[in-house]
Parts: sequence; C-alpha cells; structure tokens
Amino acid sequence: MKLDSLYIESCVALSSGDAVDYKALIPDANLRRRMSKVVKAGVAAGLKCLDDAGLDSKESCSKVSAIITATGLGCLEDSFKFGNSVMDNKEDLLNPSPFISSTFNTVGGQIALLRSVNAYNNTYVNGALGFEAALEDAFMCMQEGYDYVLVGAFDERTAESAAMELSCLEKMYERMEGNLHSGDVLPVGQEAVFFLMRPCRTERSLAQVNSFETDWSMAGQLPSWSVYLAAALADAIAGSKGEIILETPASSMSITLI
Amino acid sequence: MKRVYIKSLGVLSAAGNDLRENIASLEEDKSGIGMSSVDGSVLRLPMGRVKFFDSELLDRLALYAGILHLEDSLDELEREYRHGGEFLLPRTDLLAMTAFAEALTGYLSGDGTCDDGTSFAGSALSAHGIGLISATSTGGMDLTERFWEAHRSDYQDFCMSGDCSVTDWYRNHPCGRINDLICRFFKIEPEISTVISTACSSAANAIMLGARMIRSGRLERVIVGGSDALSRFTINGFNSLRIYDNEYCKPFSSKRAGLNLGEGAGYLVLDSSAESALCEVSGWANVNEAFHQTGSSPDGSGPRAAMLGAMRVAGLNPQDIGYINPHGTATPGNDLSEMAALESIFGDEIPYVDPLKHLYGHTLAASEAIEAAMCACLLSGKADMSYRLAARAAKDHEVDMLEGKSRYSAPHALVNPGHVLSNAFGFAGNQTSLIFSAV
Repeated sequence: MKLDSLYIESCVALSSGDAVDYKALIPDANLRRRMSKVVKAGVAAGLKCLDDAGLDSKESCSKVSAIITATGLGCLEDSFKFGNSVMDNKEDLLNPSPFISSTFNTVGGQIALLRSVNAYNNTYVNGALGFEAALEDAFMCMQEGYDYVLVGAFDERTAESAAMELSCLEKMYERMEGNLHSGDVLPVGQEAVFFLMRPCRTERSLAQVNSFETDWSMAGQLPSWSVYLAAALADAIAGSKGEIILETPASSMSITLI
Repeated sequence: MKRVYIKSLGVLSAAGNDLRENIASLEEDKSGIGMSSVDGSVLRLPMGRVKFFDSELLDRLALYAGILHLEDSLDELEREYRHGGEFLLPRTDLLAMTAFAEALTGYLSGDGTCDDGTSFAGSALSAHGIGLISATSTGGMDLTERFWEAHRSDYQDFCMSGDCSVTDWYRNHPCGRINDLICRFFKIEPEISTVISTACSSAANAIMLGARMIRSGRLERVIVGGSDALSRFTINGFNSLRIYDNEYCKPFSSKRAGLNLGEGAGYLVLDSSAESALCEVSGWANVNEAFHQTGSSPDGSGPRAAMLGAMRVAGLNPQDIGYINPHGTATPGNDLSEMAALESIFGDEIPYVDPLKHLYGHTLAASEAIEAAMCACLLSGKADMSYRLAARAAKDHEVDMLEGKSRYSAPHALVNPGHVLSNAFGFAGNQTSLIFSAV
C-alpha cells in the first residue's frame, strides 16, 4: 500500500550483547530486576526511541498518541519460567510475576506506564508479520489525525524454544524442499526495534516510508520472529541517503532516507 | 466515511455450542460454569468449559465443511494432525475454526443464521477486499503444556531425534498460527490477516481494528473474532494472583471474590453494507490507563476515558446509551474501577448494566467477541430482551453494587436499548470500549 505521510523521527535497535545503560532508562531497580531480558530490551528500546525524538519526560510524552507493538512469541523466558513452576511446585504457592509478564502486551504496557501515556495501545502477534500489521495500524492512526506514534517489534528465543522451533522448521522446509539442514541452529537471544513515527516531515526526520507490500499468507511459513522488517528498516536508516527498497521474505518496503 | 455493520455471528462458549444455544442461555440467564479441572491439573475450580470435546468440535466443523463444500480441507486437516489415536491441534484453534465456520455459513445464507449455506466459491468472501483479524492470549498453550510436561527433561534429545511428533505438538503454539489454519481450511486469501493479543481486551481490539479498516475504506468486509481454550497456564496464573474465586463468580456483587475462567470463541462478519445487518458498530476507543501492570485504578480513570472516547467516535452523549455490557470480571478491583467510571460518567442515572461473565466465565481473548455477539443479538431482536430482563430481574440482588444507582429498577423500559456500550479491559492497562447501535 502507498503511504503518503509516514515519517520516522527516531529509531532504536537493541540486540543481545549490546551494551545498554538500562539503569538510566529504567531507574527503578526492583522493576528492572523483575523484567526478563526481552522485556527489558523492548522497554529500553521504546523509551530510548522516545528520548531520541525529544520526548524524554512524562510531560512531553503526553503528546504520544499511540504505542503499537509486535511480537511473534512474546515473553518466552517468563512463559517457560511460569510453566515450569506450575509443574515443579505442583500448582501451589506460585510466584505470579512471570505470569503477569508473559502476556504479549507487557512491553507496550510498561512503556505506557513508565511515561504515563494514556493513549491507544495495541499488540500484534501474527508470527513473522506482526510489525507489518503494526505499520498498517500506525498509518491508519495518522489518517485519523494521530501524531507521535511509537511502533516497535521485539522477540526472543530461548534454548527451549529454539530447539522446538527448529524441529518444526526442518519438517516444514523438508515439505517445501527448502534448504534448512539438520544441525542448523537458530540464534538464542533477544532483539527489539522501535521507531517514533509522525505524519509530517520535521528537521528531525530520518526517513519517509513511501509504501510497503506484504504477503500475509507467509506468516505461517516463517519462524515466529516479528523483527525481520523492523531490523532491516533500522539498518537502512543507519546507512546513506536516498531511496531504498527493503526486501524481507514476506515484505518489501520503499523508503526515502532524509 | 463508511459505516460498519455486523452481518453474521459464530459463537462457542460454556453456555452453548453455537449461536442458537448461546441465545437461549442468554435469555434464560443460564450459566454454563461448572466445577472442573483442566488436563493434568490438581486444581478443581469453577470454570466455563465448552461442552463439546475436541472430537465433537471436529464433527461440528465437518458439518460446516459439508455446507461450504470444503470436504477436502477436512481431509487435509485429518491427514496433518491425526496421529495414532490423537488429534494434535490446539483446542484454541479448533474453537476458533468452528466459530469462524458458523459466522461464515451464516453470512453466506444471508440472514445471519446458519440454516442453509450457499455456494462459497464466487461469494463476496472469497473475493478480494476482505480481512481477517483474530485475537488470542493462549495460542497453542493447551497442547504445548501437555508436550512440555512429558518432555521438558529431554526436550533437546527429543527435538533432535527427528521424531515428527514434536513438530505436531509445538507447530501451532504461536498465536499467529490461528489465521494460517483458518485461511487454509476455508481457502480465503485475506488482503490483511493479523492476530491481536492484549490479554483480556484482545477481541475488543480486533473488532475495533476491523471497524477502523472498514471506516477508512481500507477493506469492504472483515471477519474479526477471538478464541482461547482453558489451560493449566492461565488457570494457575489467575489463581496465583489470588483473583480466582473458588466459588461461582459474582460480577457487580458486593460479595464478589474473583473471576472464573472460561473458554470459547466468537467471530463476527463486519461489512460496510447495511443490508440485513444485525446492528452497527458505531463507536470504539482504546486507551491505556497507565496505572499498574495488572491492577485497575480505583477511580476508574482508564475505563472512563475509553467509554467517553467510544461515545465521541459514535457522536453520542451518555444519555443516549440504553444498555451497558460491562467487562465485569467479578474481581474486586475490576468491578470497583468500572463502577467508579460508570458513576463518574452517568451519575446516579446509570443505564441498565448487564454483566455476562457468570454465564461463560472469563474467556480472556474471546470474551469480547462472545459478548459483542450477544449485544448484537439483543439489539437485533435475535435474542428476546424481555426474556433476558425477566430472567435477570429474578436475580437482581446478585448485582447489588448497582442498587439505587442505575435505571436498573425499571428494566422494562429497555425493550429497545438503541445504543449498547460494551467494555473489555485487560492486563497492562488496556481499556477498550465499543458501542453497538440498532439499525
């Protein structure tokens, strides 16, 4: 679809291993301790993205009119932690914290909570294409007159989920006569990418998103990793000026770097 | 700007295996909640279990597949997921597909009911311009947790063994798979296909997104809904939060002590054409309360903002609202917050408030799909409002939070509520309100 008014004002991508000053972004030590790695990465990327766009306080964040997140598998570490505790403790005296954080909208909710963003908040979970759905929503928000829309994707793989996912993918690629081989590994870790989007060009604008196309039927044929297009977009923004076409397994996007 | 209408419904809940049964339970205020346990769990609690076993859900799906001439899809599903004696498809997905099939069949038969289906091929739904928006909070968790219990100590060896069963157990765990299964089974190629997960407000956000896509002209019609099966994960989650009532839940009662979980699915066909519509989706708003990760604000600021926002989109004032289907989970916090918001908006003239979760339990991501369907039935007369009101009147004392504060004492005035406000609130501060209007 063609987008006539979608500008990226700031962009933050965090992967496992990146040195991040979480303390500066999430000062509450107890909260930081309770957050799993992916929640911390997602929340930090979102907050830093707001900061970089000049929205570095609760007051300035009152301008934010939507927080839209995407994730394929959500907060897996917490899901496994809670699921294991149910079995280990025979369903008695369970700590609810990992259950609370296992919900898919945890990251979007925490960003809203930390910056008092009383605004539209939604989370897309359609496998590899959640970020594409979040973009559709963001564009519709712009058409409805919204401004300062935070859009991001985050996902994590744990040792457990990677092993299960890999065996599923092998089977699937076998059927499609693809070329995933036994012994390939899926990287374990987290990735979070956030963008602050506006309907108008400003002196801060990094890029304009001109159009994007998605083959939604691919959602079921790719690993549930929502960050493909978001990461490609973040990479491109770090590069030189001009018009660029991004291609991912299911989507293509045209952007103009400013 | 285009308007948005509900054309057809499909519903499964503890209170009924299809729309017709759910309407009967709604009219009689008959609860489907009973004492039960989920597979592998030692917790015996009141919960809203869909009465059909998986095999019966498959039988029902086969019935719809026959009407829709999709027998080959059914064969393929059997081939892919039947292994030995077991059918390895998450119950969340089976519930979703069955409710979707009912909504689709009803749409094709033209009057919103599923009496007789017409040819699927060549119909508006198989053409371009449709969207599919699902909602789930558990995805394939019900199946995954059975696999995980058996294999968590040897999962790595098991996964590397080349045994195909791990694939079948885990393949449909991700929430996004629900749409892939639906698209393949019903042979639809939506222009947009996505899944939303915002905990208990998920289906409300699916309905809202679908409505926005029609209003903006992005889509002509969109099928929206939600599904969640009971799982050990969610039962233990809410139990560990100490908001699970071990007796039957009592929404909007001063004696309420928590929720009961339920399972179910609901799908609604939204369309830009008013022809033979059940009702209009006229207002919506999603506002994050930003108060607490799980708790609701005691002053109800979030619910208030969502309800007022939905009225603004619909162009309505509080006095236009005739009937309220609250979120009403029966947790002390939710009902307190929601009641505070209602009082702040409506004063002591709160419209008739009719919580429904004592019928189904809290079906999480499916809840607003099921309750929106019931609102559409009451507005369109498919469910008889006077029966419902008489059944509720006999139990007035159970919703004593509203005593003296609402027009509740004169429900007979409500045969035609005109505009219905329906709420769905969730973890992480998500508050969504919808307004349905008579056509």
